Amino acid sequence: MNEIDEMFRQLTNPLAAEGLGEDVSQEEDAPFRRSGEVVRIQLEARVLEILVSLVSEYKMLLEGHARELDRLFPAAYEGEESEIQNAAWALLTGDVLRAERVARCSVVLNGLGDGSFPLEAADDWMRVFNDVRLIATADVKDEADLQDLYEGATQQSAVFLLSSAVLQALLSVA
Amino acid sequence: MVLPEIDTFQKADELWAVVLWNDPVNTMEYVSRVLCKSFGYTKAKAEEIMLAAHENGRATAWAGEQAEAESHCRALHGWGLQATLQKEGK
Repeated sequence: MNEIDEMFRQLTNPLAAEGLGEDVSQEEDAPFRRSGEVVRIQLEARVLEILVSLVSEYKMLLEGHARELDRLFPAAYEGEESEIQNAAWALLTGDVLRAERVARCSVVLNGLGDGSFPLEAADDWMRVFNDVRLIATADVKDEADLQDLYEGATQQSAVFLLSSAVLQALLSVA
Repeated sequence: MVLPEIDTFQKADELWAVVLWNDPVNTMEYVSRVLCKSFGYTKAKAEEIMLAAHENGRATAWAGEQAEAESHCRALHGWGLQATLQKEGK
């Protein structure tokens, strides 16, 4: 976990110093540094490798219709007749939502490869890493379960911490 | 429960609410950001709805015609939020 702790620190250190109204994305050591309409990625090679691996794996799960992703495709209707309504809902929205997510993964992987991405793609980045967080927290039922992830030493905890740190860094950019 | 502004020409029995559910994983900042982007709400309005969901377990994010409500619900699902549709009024 030491390596993960170090990555987490690299991603969140600029945020720790953030004061009210400060624009952390302009800081020299910001992991995602905004320069006009471009966001430059300033992460160590090892961190980049892991992020590429995480997003690639997520993309593969999407393309394989993995059950681990069920949380990302919730039902919309409740109550009487909801079974029929939700079957129709899944049919109408499932493939579209999946395709959109796959496309966003590609955007992020391209950006990780280029070392930068356009500011307008920041939403795509946030959504991808939030999705990764959601997958890592599939078993979480309440705040106590979440706290266990923050404090844990499992691979699941590591994925959750890293994706959370990236998301938080991105929220400061967009 | 927070009720956003609705078109006054809608009949009460045709209203469908987009219900935002609290969950322990999505951060408050992220949820507020999504509400701003999805519905065009001000930051203050988005935070009001987000906090209502956080404190009460759920909040009405939007209400209107079913087709548009479905579109909003699908969008929220695309952002990873937990949302459902509920018919309002009789």
